[in-house]
Amino acid sequence: MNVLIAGTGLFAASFLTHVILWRIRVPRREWLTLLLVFAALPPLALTAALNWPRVPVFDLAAPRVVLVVFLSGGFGIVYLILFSALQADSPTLTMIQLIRSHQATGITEDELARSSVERGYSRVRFEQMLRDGLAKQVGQQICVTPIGRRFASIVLWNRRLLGLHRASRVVTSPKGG
Amino acid sequence: MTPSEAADWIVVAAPVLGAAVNLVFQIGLVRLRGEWLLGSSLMVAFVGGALVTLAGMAAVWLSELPSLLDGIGLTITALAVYASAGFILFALVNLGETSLRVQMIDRLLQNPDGLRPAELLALQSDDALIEVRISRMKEAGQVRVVGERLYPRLSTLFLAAAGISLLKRLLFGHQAGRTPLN
Repeated sequence: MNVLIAGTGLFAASFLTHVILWRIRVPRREWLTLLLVFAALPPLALTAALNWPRVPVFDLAAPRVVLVVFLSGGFGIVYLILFSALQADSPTLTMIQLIRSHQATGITEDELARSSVERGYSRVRFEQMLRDGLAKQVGQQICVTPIGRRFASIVLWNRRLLGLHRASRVVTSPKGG
Repeated sequence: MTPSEAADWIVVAAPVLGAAVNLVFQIGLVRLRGEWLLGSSLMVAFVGGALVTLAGMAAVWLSELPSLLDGIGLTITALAVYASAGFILFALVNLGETSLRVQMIDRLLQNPDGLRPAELLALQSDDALIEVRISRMKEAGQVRVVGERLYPRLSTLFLAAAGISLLKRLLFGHQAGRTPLN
């Protein structure tokens, strides 16, 4: 049971630190701070705890230390994925929220589409992409940056591996299929 | 290496092997069945990997019987590690299907000289994006359709939306109201 307690404890410590920092003030470089909290804090805490003989829960053999790292690291990555959905204002989740807020009377597709279009998802994403350094403006043109290329390459490589079409196939006409 | 240490290494290997089987099944099933059955292929692959993880844990219980509490803790840990890996693999596929930013970057990669902002935005129609998502929600039974009106239905997606909303309140407090997911 020590492995489970240590792994979830390390993740909980990172999460708590994240909540406290964000409640004080949302950092300007959110992703860098998040990576520091979830990628650097657990190894540091684990190293300190392993060298601290008075913490019995961390008195672990090598394979169990690996399991603790897997557990807290796995939870950390899952949380970062969920946080990206929260931060990016996912269209699907926003629409679900809109339907939920009309649960008594229901909402027609037209009303839902109108409310959703007002949010301007594409423009918001476009601005986020520039702000996060995934793309940059060079003169009149928008070009992908090395960070953007790396961010997308993992996803695009996975799609090629699965034999799926390219990601950029969103239809430009509502009735376009 | 003592039998106890060997058993611990099997616990480490079980979710890793499970995740590898999940990935191999994903590749095989999606390539074989095509993208129309993408969701069910991913589910079958996930279950396949989970069975391998459970088989590894069964081997630990049979070979070097840990104490009940330790055994339960290790089994939960192995399954949690496997579930996390499964979620990451699923998110990779899902990002390629739904992420607007990935789609925009893919467009830019196809146009090495870059695109004008208006050209890039014109490639992504909000109307089409919303219509596709409404269709997906209806087809997947994530909303209840009564006449022309849509009503919420308890689904993983609704729970995810509620969870994200809660997290937003926790992180941003009163400022969460300024964003759409409040």
